[in-house]
Amino acid sequence: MTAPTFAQRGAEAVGSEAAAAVGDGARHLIEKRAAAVDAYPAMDAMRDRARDIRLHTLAHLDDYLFEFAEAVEALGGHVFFAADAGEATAHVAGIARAAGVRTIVKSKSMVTEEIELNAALEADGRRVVETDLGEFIVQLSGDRPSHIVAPVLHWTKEQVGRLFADELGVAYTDEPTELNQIARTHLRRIFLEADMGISGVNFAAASTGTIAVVTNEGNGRLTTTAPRVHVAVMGMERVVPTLEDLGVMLEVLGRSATGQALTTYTNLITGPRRPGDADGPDELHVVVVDNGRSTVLGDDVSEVLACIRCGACLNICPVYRSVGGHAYGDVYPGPVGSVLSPILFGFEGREELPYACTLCGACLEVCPARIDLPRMLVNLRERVAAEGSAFSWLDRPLDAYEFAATHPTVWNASLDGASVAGRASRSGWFKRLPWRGKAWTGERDLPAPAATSFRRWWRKHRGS
Amino acid sequence: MDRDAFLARVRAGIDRSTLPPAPEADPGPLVPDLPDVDLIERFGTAIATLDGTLHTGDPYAAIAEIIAAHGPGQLVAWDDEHLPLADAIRRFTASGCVRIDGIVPSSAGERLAHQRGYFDVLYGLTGAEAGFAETGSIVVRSGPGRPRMASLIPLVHIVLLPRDRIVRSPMHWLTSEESNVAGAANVVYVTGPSRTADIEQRIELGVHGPREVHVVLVERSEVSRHR
Repeated sequence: MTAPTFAQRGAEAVGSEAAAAVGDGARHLIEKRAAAVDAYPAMDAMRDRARDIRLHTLAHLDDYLFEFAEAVEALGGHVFFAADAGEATAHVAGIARAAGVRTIVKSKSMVTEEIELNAALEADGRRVVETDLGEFIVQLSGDRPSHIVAPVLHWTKEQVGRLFADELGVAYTDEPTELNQIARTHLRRIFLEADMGISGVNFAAASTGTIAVVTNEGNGRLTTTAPRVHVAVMGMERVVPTLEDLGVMLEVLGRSATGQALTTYTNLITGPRRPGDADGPDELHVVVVDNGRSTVLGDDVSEVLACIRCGACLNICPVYRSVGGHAYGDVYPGPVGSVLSPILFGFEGREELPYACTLCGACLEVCPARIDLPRMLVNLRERVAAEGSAFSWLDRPLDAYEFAATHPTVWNASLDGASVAGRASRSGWFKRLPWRGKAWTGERDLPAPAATSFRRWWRKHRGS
Repeated sequence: MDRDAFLARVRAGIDRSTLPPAPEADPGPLVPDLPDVDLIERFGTAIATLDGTLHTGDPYAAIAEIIAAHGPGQLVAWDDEHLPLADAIRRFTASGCVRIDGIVPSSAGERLAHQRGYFDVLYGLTGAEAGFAETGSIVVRSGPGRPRMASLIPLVHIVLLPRDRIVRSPMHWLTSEESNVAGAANVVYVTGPSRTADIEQRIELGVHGPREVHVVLVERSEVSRHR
């Protein structure tokens, strides 16, 4: 049995409670972003600078990664370069084994989800606990995140209440303040007792070896402060040349993602705990992950590596708001995912993703790095079409169209046929069509063809 | 993967890539051109929208007010010599608060035992390197006598911020000589209390970090900027 396609998953999702919740959440985030952008007179200039910094870094990525690694090592940190998911997970598992780790706390990180790090560590006998409230809910329930910034956009508070009652042995409540307190108490003990913390990396500064981990809840800080070993996993494109450049990225990240001028905690880490420091982890390991990124870099869509994972393109996308995150089938949903996933993970089974888009261009309008996603989606469509694999069911209708369009008699006859159908509709709209048309009229009406074709009308009225 | 092989693969990717034109040199930072404002007033407005509190009056009165509101509890604090207000810690201990040692041992077992003592910390008392008027953030820097946990583990974080350390925006500070972020293992911009909107987009405070952040303005500080 083949895996369901985007169209199949999407068709199932449209109109569902979960997709509606994602749509509402995304609309809320659009408003918050717009307000923050309006309130900041420097936003446009910062976006231009952010784009320049990202593109400059990508063009010299090997040099900056080298410089970054040297800087981290000079501070007593360790750096490992992982070619793929297997190397990355094996290395982190090795660190955990060597340090005698039992419990691992994690702060939210897309790249660790991409490489399926939790599964690898659990298979090796470690207990891994997600600590971002949303990710904690996802892990506890065995669900998947539906948004890269807000993972449980598709959950209701009643569902969370039932989950906590079932899994944590607490009394049922659907009061968010109480649910929040339950999570705080439950996770706090685990934080203080964990041997290892695993975080992602929002940005890294090459010249100083500094990594930035931003969170609103504070779980990113606890993860990188309480356990004695800190492992930071970063996609290799996260680096920028200097701390000051990193500051420019922070200027646009929070405003684009959640409409915050800054995320609550901007956590800047430069090496492990230093001699005499009161607290902090004694070991710092940075794992730099390729896992397909060098392929993306060499592709026509290399610009997508300038992405800073703010999620603004998801929120603004009319397709994403209708189908939600799960329909995309991969870790990275929405417009950016539709570009990234086929190249990172291969086209097979992802041929429809470049078509999960109306080419409205809204994603380009909001992207803090002004990444031209519509251009890349068109590029990917051309490649899918050249392979002839995505929409083979369209081939025959298109052949028929070609035949009619090149044979005037057939063409005229088909127009007359359409006019007959048009006369059958008194309102001028088809509310329900049979067969293939059913999918169209399920969501909207179709204007009926005119009762008389233009050609006929012209023959009758010419000269009058 | 071997580092050289990894970087060679990256280089090969760059050589094949069709990246849009980019500046050959690092474009460098941009300090935003922002309207002139009263820095303290702007800071106060920004932190209020984040559900934090700015205290501009007598700092000792502010501390007394905070302790009166929450009662006695455990305290994690920076050492006196790192706080820009004399006698600040004693104001807590004299009110029945118990200060917990902020030095976490390195050995695994002792570390665990020590950190278990952090479970119910009520107050955290720190200084701050800077405040950002645009965002309502304060900056804390780790080091000897300056535990990271003091601004992270308590329910109520009290920040002693010298008035003259408020600057216009994050980029104004980051591009100044004072910042020296890489000079410490950990520098954090704290922008209001811990928050989440994960459940139905409703803002909740204090999910992992402090639920309350009180920025208490103090006079010009004689505490050195730590490098």
